[in-house]
Amino acid sequence: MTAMSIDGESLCRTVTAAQQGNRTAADQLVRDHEAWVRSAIYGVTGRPDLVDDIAQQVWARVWERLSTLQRPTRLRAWLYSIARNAAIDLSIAHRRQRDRCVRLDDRTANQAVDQRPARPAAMDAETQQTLLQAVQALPAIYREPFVLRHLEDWSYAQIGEVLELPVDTVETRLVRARRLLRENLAGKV
Amino acid sequence: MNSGPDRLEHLFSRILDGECTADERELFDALRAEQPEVARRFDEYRQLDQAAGDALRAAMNCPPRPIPIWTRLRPLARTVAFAAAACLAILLWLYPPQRPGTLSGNDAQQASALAGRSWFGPTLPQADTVSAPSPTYVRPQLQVRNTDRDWIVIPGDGPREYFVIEVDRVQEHVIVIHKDL
Repeated sequence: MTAMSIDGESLCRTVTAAQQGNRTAADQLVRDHEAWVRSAIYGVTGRPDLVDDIAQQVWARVWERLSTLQRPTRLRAWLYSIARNAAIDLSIAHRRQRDRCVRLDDRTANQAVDQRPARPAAMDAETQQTLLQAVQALPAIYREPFVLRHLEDWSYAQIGEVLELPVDTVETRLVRARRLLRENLAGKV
Repeated sequence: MNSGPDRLEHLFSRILDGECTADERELFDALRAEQPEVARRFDEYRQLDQAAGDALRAAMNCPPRPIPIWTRLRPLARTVAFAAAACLAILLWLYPPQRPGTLSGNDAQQASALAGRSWFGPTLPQADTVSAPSPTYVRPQLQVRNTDRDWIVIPGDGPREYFVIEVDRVQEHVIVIHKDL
């Protein structure tokens, strides 16, 4: 939302200045793009607990490779490709690590779950968790536009620009994301 | 009118995302008005989408989606409008507006009197209160002093009747009390 409000000329100036080592311009880039980059990471991984770690890696990679960006107007698509790759790498690594830990801690975790007190007042939190799990269960190609639509309130054209997809494809993917959500949540919410 | 499930889903999605054209919006309104099943399905679609969006925003610690100010003010505006309508109804009941031009005779006079009390009638000028004239004419009692007229004619009690009053001339006398040298 914030990123899309910046006009092309201003974006080019900021990117060029940041490439030349201007610290203020670099800060401006982070401020303008951090929110949607985090949303994009969440769209790729479906894991809110991983977003902070991946976002740090994304910006580290951005500063390493910023000088290689030839067309500043394509900054958003370029940022998204870095964020997507970083998110996939870290979520795969995290999944492997978790699998190893789960085998060792399986018994302890089950006991901890059994000892939790009943919480009748936490119905809303449970509903929210169910909804998040349903979103997480979506295929990434459907989850990404869905998350950007809801977290950034972007139009189909804006989502298409970042994901490098035609507007019709964005629309179709959003329809299918909603259909899958409805099917997965039938009778649960 | 073709309202197949797939086309409806696309239409619902475009409506929710604010991407619909004016024609699509018109089609949607017509379908919703004609077919209660469509309205029910859209409400379910919207509620689920909104709930998923809210859950996402909460998970990412994002502020809730901003609600347009007209939406937030709608309940307040409705209450204010209802209160204003109630006040107007009470005042109209207490002071019913009437127009003298639409009535005749005594009704018109009554309406004319009431018009000053109505919100919608013209404001009439305030008239003086005039007492009814006495049935008999009271002749004025005149006192004539310090005048040089010899005769004064005044109206009498009846028509063509006059009184002639003889007045004594007042004599004036001047005394010199000081003389400049």
